[in-house]
Amino acid sequence: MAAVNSIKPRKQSPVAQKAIEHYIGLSQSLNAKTQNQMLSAKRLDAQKKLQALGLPMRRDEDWQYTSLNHWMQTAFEQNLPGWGKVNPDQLKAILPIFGTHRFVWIDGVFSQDLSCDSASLPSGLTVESAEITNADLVDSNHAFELLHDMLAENRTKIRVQKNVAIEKPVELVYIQTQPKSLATLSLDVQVEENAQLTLIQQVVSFADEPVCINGVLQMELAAQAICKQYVVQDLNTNDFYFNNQHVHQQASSVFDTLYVGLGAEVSRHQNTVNLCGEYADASQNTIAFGKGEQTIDSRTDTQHLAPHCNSQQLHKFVLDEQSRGVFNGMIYVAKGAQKTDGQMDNKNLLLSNNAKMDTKPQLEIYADDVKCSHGCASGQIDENQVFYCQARGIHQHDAVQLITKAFLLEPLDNVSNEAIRDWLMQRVSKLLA
Amino acid sequence: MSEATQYEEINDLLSKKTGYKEGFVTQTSVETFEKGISEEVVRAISAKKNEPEWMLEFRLKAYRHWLTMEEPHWAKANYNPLDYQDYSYYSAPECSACGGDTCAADEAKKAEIAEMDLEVAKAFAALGVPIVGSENENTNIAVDAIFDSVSVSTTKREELEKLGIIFCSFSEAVHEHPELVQKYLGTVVPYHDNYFAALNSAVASDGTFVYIPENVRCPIDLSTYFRINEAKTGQFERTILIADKNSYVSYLEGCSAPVRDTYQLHAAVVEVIVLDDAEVKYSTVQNWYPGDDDCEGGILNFVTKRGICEGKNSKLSWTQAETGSAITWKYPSCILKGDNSIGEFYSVALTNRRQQADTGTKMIHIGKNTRSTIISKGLSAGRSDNTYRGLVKILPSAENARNFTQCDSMLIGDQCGAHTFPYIEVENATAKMEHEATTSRIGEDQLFYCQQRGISEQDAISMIVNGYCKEVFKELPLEFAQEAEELLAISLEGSVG
Repeated sequence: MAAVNSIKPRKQSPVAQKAIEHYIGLSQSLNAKTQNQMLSAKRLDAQKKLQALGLPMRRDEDWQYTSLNHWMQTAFEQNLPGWGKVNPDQLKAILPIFGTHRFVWIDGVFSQDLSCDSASLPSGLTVESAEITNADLVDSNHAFELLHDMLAENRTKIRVQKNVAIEKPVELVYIQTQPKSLATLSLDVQVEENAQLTLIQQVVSFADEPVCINGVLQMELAAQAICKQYVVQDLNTNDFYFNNQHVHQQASSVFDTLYVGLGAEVSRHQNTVNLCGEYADASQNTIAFGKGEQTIDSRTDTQHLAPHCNSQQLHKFVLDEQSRGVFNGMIYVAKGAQKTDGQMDNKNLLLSNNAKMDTKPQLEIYADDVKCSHGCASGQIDENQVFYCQARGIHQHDAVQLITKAFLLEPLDNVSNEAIRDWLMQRVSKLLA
Repeated sequence: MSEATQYEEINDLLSKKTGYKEGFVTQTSVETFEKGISEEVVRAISAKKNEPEWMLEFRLKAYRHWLTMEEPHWAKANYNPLDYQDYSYYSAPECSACGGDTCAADEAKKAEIAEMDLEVAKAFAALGVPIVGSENENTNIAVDAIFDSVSVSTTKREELEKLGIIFCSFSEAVHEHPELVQKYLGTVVPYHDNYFAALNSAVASDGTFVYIPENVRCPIDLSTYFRINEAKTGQFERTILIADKNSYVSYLEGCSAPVRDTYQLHAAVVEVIVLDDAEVKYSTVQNWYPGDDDCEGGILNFVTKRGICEGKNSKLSWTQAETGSAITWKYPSCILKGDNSIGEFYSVALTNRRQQADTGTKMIHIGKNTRSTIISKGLSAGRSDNTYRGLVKILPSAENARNFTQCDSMLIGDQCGAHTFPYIEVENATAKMEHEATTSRIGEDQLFYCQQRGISEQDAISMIVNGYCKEVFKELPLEFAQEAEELLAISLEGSVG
């Protein structure tokens, strides 16, 4: 990464400048608390870098469809005193009924009461939370990763030992209860050789006013490891969500992720998957439903760095009212990554004339013996399909709903665990009704 | 054949020099401006062409704006920043310049053709461009030949004039049809559009001006041939094509340049205006000198081409075969403003050696029921990079807009790159758009199949590649399609295994 001093400072709007200063202030107060000098130094670096690079603007190629104007206007706070009340009924409505190893954070603080006992975890699985160290930081030029480096206090580490298959999913629930609260999530997942893990992550808000989630996940999948991940983002429609996931896969490992983006005013979920070992397989899917003034941004960057790897993607967006959908996908095939098979599909349904969809499916290929393709289609509901249903006695309104639902839920076909699939289906269907 | 030996063979073949037969230099006395660009140079170019005040104003406005801009580098192409003071911005064969001030007058022009420098005439003859009287009697094509900064000859003008068609050089049009030029210049590509468009607007050398009047179907193909001859000159043509109501024209463009050892700059601007019910077919076979094995000395082809389907039911179709240039940076675009208008883009882009091509199109849907089709075929060989970059934008007003995009890339060898960067922005729910992209290579089984039937490897490759490009070539006028196919074969020679 470029050294801080070599970055040419960018001019920022007064609002952006104010926001940067606010978060630098938060970072400084964290630094005052820690004993770890190396961590402080790294945080300081991140502060300087953010100051120089500034916040993303619409002018930036990667942010031209995702506006941060509203986000900048709210000064989110970390470590607010006291917790908001979590209504058990509210909680019950969002939690799955099947058994999981559950861990709950409220406003970014671990809640012992609502979580399972970590001593009761099966052997081979550990879930620990500890103070973040300088080695855990991302050190990138991405504004929200810099904010993570500046503001993360704790890091949750999940380990699955060699040859262990964890049957019950590990469930991580992040609940925001207080207005203007910011949770910086830092997650580290390591699945050792030939081990298996299913991970469910949920972010929800019970606060009336905007909250913000900023997460970074780093995952290492050793040879033959398998990880299935389901991320459900169901915040309120005035919230903000940013998540950057970095995955490194070794030979013959399998990574299967599904992002379900339902809430937030502005949400941005980015996967960076590095296929480093031969025969690794990655599948990345999105289910996104937008309404009101929401912007739902889902991005993938799939780096085929070794031969014989497969990647599949299916990203489906349904956009109603004035919502905006953004998909940006990159399949990169390095020189020598022969026999790559990369497939990326993005299909979008626009339900309203004011909805917008911006798509950029990209291919960058430096090897010749590969099969790579992307497909992308946007449109409205096919009148013929509605007519077909109506001719069979289904009311027009129901027909539209039926078709929309079937369209949106297609990525669930890949979910092998029936209980998880039913639960996700129920979560998404609730919104469509 | 094992992978390793197969590639060795490719590399052996690649290292053989492939012929660029248009690479000769014409020796003729020329008038060339001193290197460098400044307000004086802009004024001098304008004075040389004896231009009216408004044209000079346009140039100066563009030049001043250009000074405030930065050279863009977002395209997927690597090159050292250009030194704009190291180019000459005007160069013309001397005897055709006719002392400058009478250059635009009709008599002078006619005399000029008769007296045109023999060397220049020879050059065009060698290129197979019919510009001299007797030769073009039988050809079914009218040609405007441009040599460095000036148009040296425009054929079949009288014949076209009878139909009311204006087909002349841009400089002439400025004098003879100022009302038309003023009305349309800069309306599709404004002088502040981008860095190279601004530079072009400031120092525009020559170009072609075409006007097809109402209800006229142009009976022959119109064509422009561009030739860069002088070393270290930039060519900045400005082409304007206007198809008035219910008219039709097919316009072709060809180009070449001699072999040089430094990069040469070509920054053209093309504006096409299509009115109600009119149709324009714009075809380009681009064969600029690509440079030596490392693409040193090739042409930098930074072109802004844009057309507007202004009227309802209008149609604009871009077809291009791109085989030359060290770096190509070109996005022929359609603004589909009129209801029911149609935009088409067919492209074959071939890169070999170290060539870099970043090309594609923009389809901006504004009117109702507008339709667009994009078929792009990229072929990369050698150590080249071939990029498709395109935008399909459907504005809220574009009810029932329809787009179909297909970009296929073919990689030949394991040292090249093929990339696809499509931007799709949909703001209307009734719009339907589809995008597909695939990447492949010539299958060993396909080659085996042909070879088994007694077709040599080279022929088999040529056959497969031509089949792959057929969708685009069938859009080109016949002679051009043939030329494009031949070019493809030459450029591909020895690049495949």
